[in-house]
Amino acid sequence: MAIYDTDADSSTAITAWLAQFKVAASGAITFVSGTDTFHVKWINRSLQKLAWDFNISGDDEINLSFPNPSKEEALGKIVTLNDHTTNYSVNYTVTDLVMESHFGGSVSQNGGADIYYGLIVLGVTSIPLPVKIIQDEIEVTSHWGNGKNQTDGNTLLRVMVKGRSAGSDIDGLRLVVKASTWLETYAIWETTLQLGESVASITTADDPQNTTLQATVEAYGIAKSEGYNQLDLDGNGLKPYLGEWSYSPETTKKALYEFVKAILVDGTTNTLYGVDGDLWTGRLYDCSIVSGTGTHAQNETCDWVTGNGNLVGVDLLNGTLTGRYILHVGAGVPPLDTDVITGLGGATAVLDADSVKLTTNPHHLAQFTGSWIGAFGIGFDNNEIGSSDSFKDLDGNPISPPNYVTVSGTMEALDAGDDLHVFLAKKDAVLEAPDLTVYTCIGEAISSAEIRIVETIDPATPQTGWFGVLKTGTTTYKFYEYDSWDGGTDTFSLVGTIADDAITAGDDGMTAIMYDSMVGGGTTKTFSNSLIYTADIAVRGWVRQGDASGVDKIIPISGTIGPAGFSFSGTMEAEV
Amino acid sequence: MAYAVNWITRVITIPASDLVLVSGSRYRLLATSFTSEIRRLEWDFIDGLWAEHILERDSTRFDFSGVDYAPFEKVVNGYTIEFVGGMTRVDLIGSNCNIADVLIANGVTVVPSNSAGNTSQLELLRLARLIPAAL
Repeated sequence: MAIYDTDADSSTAITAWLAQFKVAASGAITFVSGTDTFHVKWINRSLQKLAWDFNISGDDEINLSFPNPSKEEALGKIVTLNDHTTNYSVNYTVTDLVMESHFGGSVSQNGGADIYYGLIVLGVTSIPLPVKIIQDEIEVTSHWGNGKNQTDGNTLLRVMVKGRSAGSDIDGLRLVVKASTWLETYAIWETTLQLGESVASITTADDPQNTTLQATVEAYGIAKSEGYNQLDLDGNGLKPYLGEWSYSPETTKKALYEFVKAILVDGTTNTLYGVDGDLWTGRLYDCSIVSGTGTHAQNETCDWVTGNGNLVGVDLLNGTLTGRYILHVGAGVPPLDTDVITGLGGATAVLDADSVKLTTNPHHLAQFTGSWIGAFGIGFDNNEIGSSDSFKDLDGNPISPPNYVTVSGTMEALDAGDDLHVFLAKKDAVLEAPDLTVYTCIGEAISSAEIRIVETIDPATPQTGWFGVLKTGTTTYKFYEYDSWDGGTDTFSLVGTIADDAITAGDDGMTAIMYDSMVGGGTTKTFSNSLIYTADIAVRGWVRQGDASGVDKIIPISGTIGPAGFSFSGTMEAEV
Repeated sequence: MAYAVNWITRVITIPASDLVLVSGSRYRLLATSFTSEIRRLEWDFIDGLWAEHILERDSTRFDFSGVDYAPFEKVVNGYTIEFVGGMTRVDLIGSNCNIADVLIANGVTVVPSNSAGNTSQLELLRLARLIPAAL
């Protein structure tokens, strides 16, 4: 198999070309046999050779008596096959199969109604891998395996792609070139075909964060997270994102990174936002919506006057209330001001400005180095991110997640049925004991679902936890579980409501990091919570077992929550 | 009625109904019952899980020269104990404890059964030669 580039020996290249193809008297150029590949220039040179000859030779049926077959421009990169149907009943044409043996430029035929364009993919990969070409939401059938016509060390592929058919450009001549091979980083490049040879560039490398067997990753129980979400990833209020990705039930960010890579891997049958992972091009556009109708459906296909795609997220599914519509462009060009997007279910959305392209990553989530780097508009479970991760929300605002650290404990109980109660709170400034008088309550009526305090809530307070209050006239602190707190209003939102006694203004309050039963079906009992670390926090507490099954010695907890969190462990001992 | 704890004033109230009646107004407090109830109160979410512990129980009984010695129980962290319910005497059985030291006096006589190992005052006096050996 020889590659005849533009600088090949003319005589040799033409001889080889004429041996591999037949030129019929009708002008039809067809593939005969052979494995050589040729720069498109050799089409013109070979045809000119035939048309110059007095005699017909070999299987070719053209000679000097035939009209001019072709011309070349731009140093042979633009070849035009002439159509002489009207005067000579001769139309020089090539086929798709013939074009599989060519590269380096464009070939126009049928008076410009059909054009094959040259595509050169430059780049470097750590291993030979298949380069995929996506055209009009279809993966162009590969005849190039892990590369073809690699005429230099930086060239991965040089092929011909039919970009115009029967007088119409295919998807506006747009192509997406991508590489998504397991264990390798992914790459995507969008280009527009032009006469001559168009360039795409992709570079991939061995992915140190993608080391698990694909089948293993595909068996993970991680759930896809698709759609528009308002999330608070930095403790500074809700911001817009796509998805709320969590690695649970797996335990690492790497597992999530690999899971999403597996959705998009070459040959996948998975979908992301309803788009076949093989055809995912990451062309996300943000549309400002002024009006609409109907009810949008997550992931539904949609179209507008100049394109189509899939709904990736809307701020509100009710079309009359939708203000933001994010879509993945499948084919065509993104919508413009006043365009109407119509979903598969009939819901509509009218733009009041040109759509804006969002920055995306070939792996969808973000670059991953063990931390998420530069994720744009991608939402994550805020319990699974930390200060080492970097984000932007969908509005492009940089988000710096706080350092969420885990506070956890593991105790070995004497019996599986033991109900170990754990209490852990910040240490008193002076006493070697939990601080019980951190806050002053404003006062709440019975049935209130919140507790307001006078002071500013400590930012290092767990997002979920327990608020203890010593109500006036009572003899013990009563604890209420909260599931969120607002640092603006200094209010804890309770899981339940205030019962039994109202909270009087001035009542002392405090928060507990742990105030619950440790969990576990066997004798190993665990409990954990998390909070934002900004400085070391001394904590005190204990684990107690005092139910009817038997009482144990109290296990004290003493330590400091540091930048890596805090954990404790121990073994219960019977109080015989 | 059961034990009640004012976790703020640190007063533990033990009613007669949670004691073992000996006779008349004389009652007995068993160490095992006392320990179990205190530990339950310290463990309970709606009681004293948040509060400092009441009781330190030092070493369990052990076999020493063929004898099991009672454990030591110490009420700590400023807690005090009050017996209520009309009893005149409470015998503390099953442990060496300091309840008598943290008792709120209200007319109830508390009789501990603490042992220091030498139970005969007379023998101590003889050893000190403060009294004749013949006595």
